[in-house]
Parts: sequence; C-alpha cells; structure tokens
Amino acid sequence: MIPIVQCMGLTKTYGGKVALNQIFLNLERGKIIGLLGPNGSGKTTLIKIMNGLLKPTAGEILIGGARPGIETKYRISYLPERTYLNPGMKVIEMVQYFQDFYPDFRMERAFDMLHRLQIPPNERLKNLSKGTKEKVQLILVMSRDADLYVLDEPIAGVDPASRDYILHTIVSNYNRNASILFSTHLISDVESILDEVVFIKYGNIILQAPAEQIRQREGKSIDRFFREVFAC
Amino acid sequence: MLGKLMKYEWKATWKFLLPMNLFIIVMSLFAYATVQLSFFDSDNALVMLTGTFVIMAYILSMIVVSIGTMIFLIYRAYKSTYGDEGYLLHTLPVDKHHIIISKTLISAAWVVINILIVYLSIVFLLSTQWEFMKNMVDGFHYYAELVNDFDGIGGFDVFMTLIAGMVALLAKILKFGACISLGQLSSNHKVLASFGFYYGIYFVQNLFNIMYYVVLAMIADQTMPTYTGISFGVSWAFDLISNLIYCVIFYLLTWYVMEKKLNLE
Repeated sequence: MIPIVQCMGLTKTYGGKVALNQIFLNLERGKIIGLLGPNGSGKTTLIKIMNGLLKPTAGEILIGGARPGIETKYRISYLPERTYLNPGMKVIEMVQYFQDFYPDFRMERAFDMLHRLQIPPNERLKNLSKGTKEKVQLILVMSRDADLYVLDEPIAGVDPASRDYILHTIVSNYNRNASILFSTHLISDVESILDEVVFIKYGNIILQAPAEQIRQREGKSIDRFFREVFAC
Repeated sequence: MLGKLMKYEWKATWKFLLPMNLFIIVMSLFAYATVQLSFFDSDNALVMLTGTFVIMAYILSMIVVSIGTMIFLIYRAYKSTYGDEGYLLHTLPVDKHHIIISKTLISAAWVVINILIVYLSIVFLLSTQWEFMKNMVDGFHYYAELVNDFDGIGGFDVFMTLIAGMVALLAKILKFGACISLGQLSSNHKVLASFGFYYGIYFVQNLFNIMYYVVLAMIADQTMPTYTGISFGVSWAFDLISNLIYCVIFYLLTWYVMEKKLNLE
C-alpha cells in the first residue's frame, strides 16, 4: 500500500535560511504519529507544504501518491496552529460551511461533540474564548472521515481539564485506516496515544521510530527522551 | 463549488456592506425632507443651518460609503485570501479559478449596488425639483438629436459603453487582487509591496492612456465632421479592449501566485 505521506528530498528555504533540509520521510496509514521538535525546527513548514499552503523550494511531497492539490485536500483534514474561522460567523454556520465543502463531513458527529463540550451552536465565534474557538476547529476537523488528519498544536490553547476529552475525541473519532499526524510541544499529554514518533531538528529528520520501541530501547518516556535530545 | 464559494462570500460581506449602503438611503430621506419642508426658504438661521448640515452630511455619506465599500472589499480580499482565514480557504478542495471568480463577482456586485443606490438617491432628491428635472430631460433629448445628426452614435454605442464600464469595473477589482497577490511574493513587508505594485501598474496604465489620447487626437484632427461619433465609438472600443486585456493579465497574475507561489507564512 502506498504510504499516506512520502517526502523525497523535500527542501524549503526562506531567503537564505533553510527550514527543511532535503527531507526523506514516509508515513504509513493507520497510525497516530507525533511530529516532535523544538520551536523553529520545521514542523509547521512541513505541515503547510503537505496542505499546499507553502511551495517547496526543491524535492517533492506526495499525499497518497498525489501532489498537493484539490484531490489531496479531499483526503487531508487540517487543523492549523491559528484560528482560521471567520469570527463573524456562528458555530452552526461553520458546521454548515464544512458540510458544504467536504463530502466526508459528518454533521451529527460535529453536533454531538459540540454538545459534549457544551459549546452553543448559535454563538458567534467572536464571542467565544480562544480555547473554545480551538475546540470548535478541532471538532470541525475531526468530524471528517479523512485519510490523514494533520493537527498542528491541537491542544496548546486548551485547558488541561478538556485535554483528556479532546485526545479521547481524536482517538475515538478517526477512521482506523487513516493516519493522524500530531505536532505538539505537550508530549507528556499525548505520549500515550502515539504509535510512532518523528523527531525533527533544524529542518532535518533525526529520528523516526515506533513509540514503544523508543521507550524500551531508551528505558524512559518519550517526553524524557525528547528533553535530552533537544536540551539547550 | 463556485456557487458555494459565492454564497459564503456574499454572507461574509452583506452583514457589513448592506447596512452601510442603506445608510445612504436613510440620509437621502433626511435630505428629501429638508428640501420638501423648505428649510432653505426659512427666515430662521438655525433652520437654514440645519438644512445645510443635513445636505452636507448626505453628500458626505455617499462619498464615505462609496470609498468605505471599496476599502472593505480590498481588506476582505486580503484577509480572507492571505490572512488567517486563507488557511481555510486554501485547504478547501476547490479550484483556484473558482476562488478568484467568486471574489471578483461578489465585489463587482457590491460596487454596482453602491453605484445604483447613490444614483437612485440623487434622482430621488432631484425629483423634488420638477423644473430642474424637466430641463435635464430636455437636455438629454437635445443631445440625442444632436449626435444622431452626426450619424455616429446609436443605441448600440450606448449599450457597448455600459458593457465597457462593467469590464472596466472588473479590471479594477482584478487589479486590486493582483496587487495583493503580487505583494505576497515579497518575503517582508507584503502590504507595502502590494502598494508598490499598485502604483507601478497605475503608472504603466496611465502611459498607455496618454498614448491612446495622442493617437485619438490625431485621428480626430483628420475627421472633424464626425468627431463626436468617432470619438464616442472609438472610446468605448478602446476602453473595452484595453480593460479586457487588463482583466486577463490581472486574473492570470493572481491565479499564478495562488497556484504556483502560495506562501502562507
């Protein structure tokens, strides 16, 4: 089966600064993968290239065998690290918006999650707190039956009490043949759900291995190992 | 998908632009009442001053709303395409052509709505002045007879002038879109770069216009008897052709940046 993500010599530079340095990376289907690295390591750049929001300087990226385009946008459900919803719209209007554009969107799932997280559907987004807006975005993204969920810092702005529910929501709401790519600094919170880990540093992939294998080989948690690898 | 994009573009703009444009209608009602109640014939200085203030506020409202409509549309185009909302727009499974067309058509619709409201508001206010209206209509009739004598202008020319005007409006909107998009190619100061592109394009367009008028003056000099007809006919033809070319250029530039050079940093 073709990997869901294939990077071949993927390079991105901003002016003279190298953000991604000839990356070769394959991500398999049916896994929850943690893309871990410190600030400025190239995580968000890689994610944006996957979603066609940035063009690579060199190399190639394929999503399910296709270059980023309309076809791959049907397959990827993307949560950026910023609020991308129109603040003037109501939550229910955003649900309708996703329903209109994504054939794999499941409206009943979205309303169920909104209800569980006590988010009023008729509230305008500009009246919601930053954390609640992030929850709404996550609900919209996880209500799709996509092949690949790309979540850039999905729990960073959410209170610790809601994190467990959100992580549970993520794990229980995705198609088992799909993959989730998770970019986060909060490793200890997500460690238990990760199948695979990718460490990225200065635009280079320095490690790609199953989470359990790292724990056994190193004899410590991934959070602890991450702190040692990326110690300043 | 084009229909859906247009639907949401309309939804995102009407909440702000409709009340703003309705404000002109409210102000024209005040202005109408001021004229009907003969504020300007009053002996009371305060009443006259109020009348003057209302008329000035009415004129100002038309100017502010018209400029405000354009500024809002430009700001909205930037924010929804290359700002935070662009992250959603560019990850929708839609063709970039549809994005450009939907934004251009909805923007054009708003400018036309604004022009119509201003036009109807002025006609409404002038309807209080029957003598003035009658003279104006007579003037139009006289002009129509005059140009018919030259055998140069007919209903077709007037129709084509309207079409040329619509194409000119589309070219202007696409120019703003192209400048915003070209500004994104700059690694820093993207907004400043957009202004730079705008004034650069404005300069080049003016150069072409000057060249056109020089040529037109030379033609007119040799064909004086039918000057009005020729200048009118040539004028819409030139406007139509030049703006069609501008539309194509600006459209392709916008599409190129969105499709090939998108960099949402």
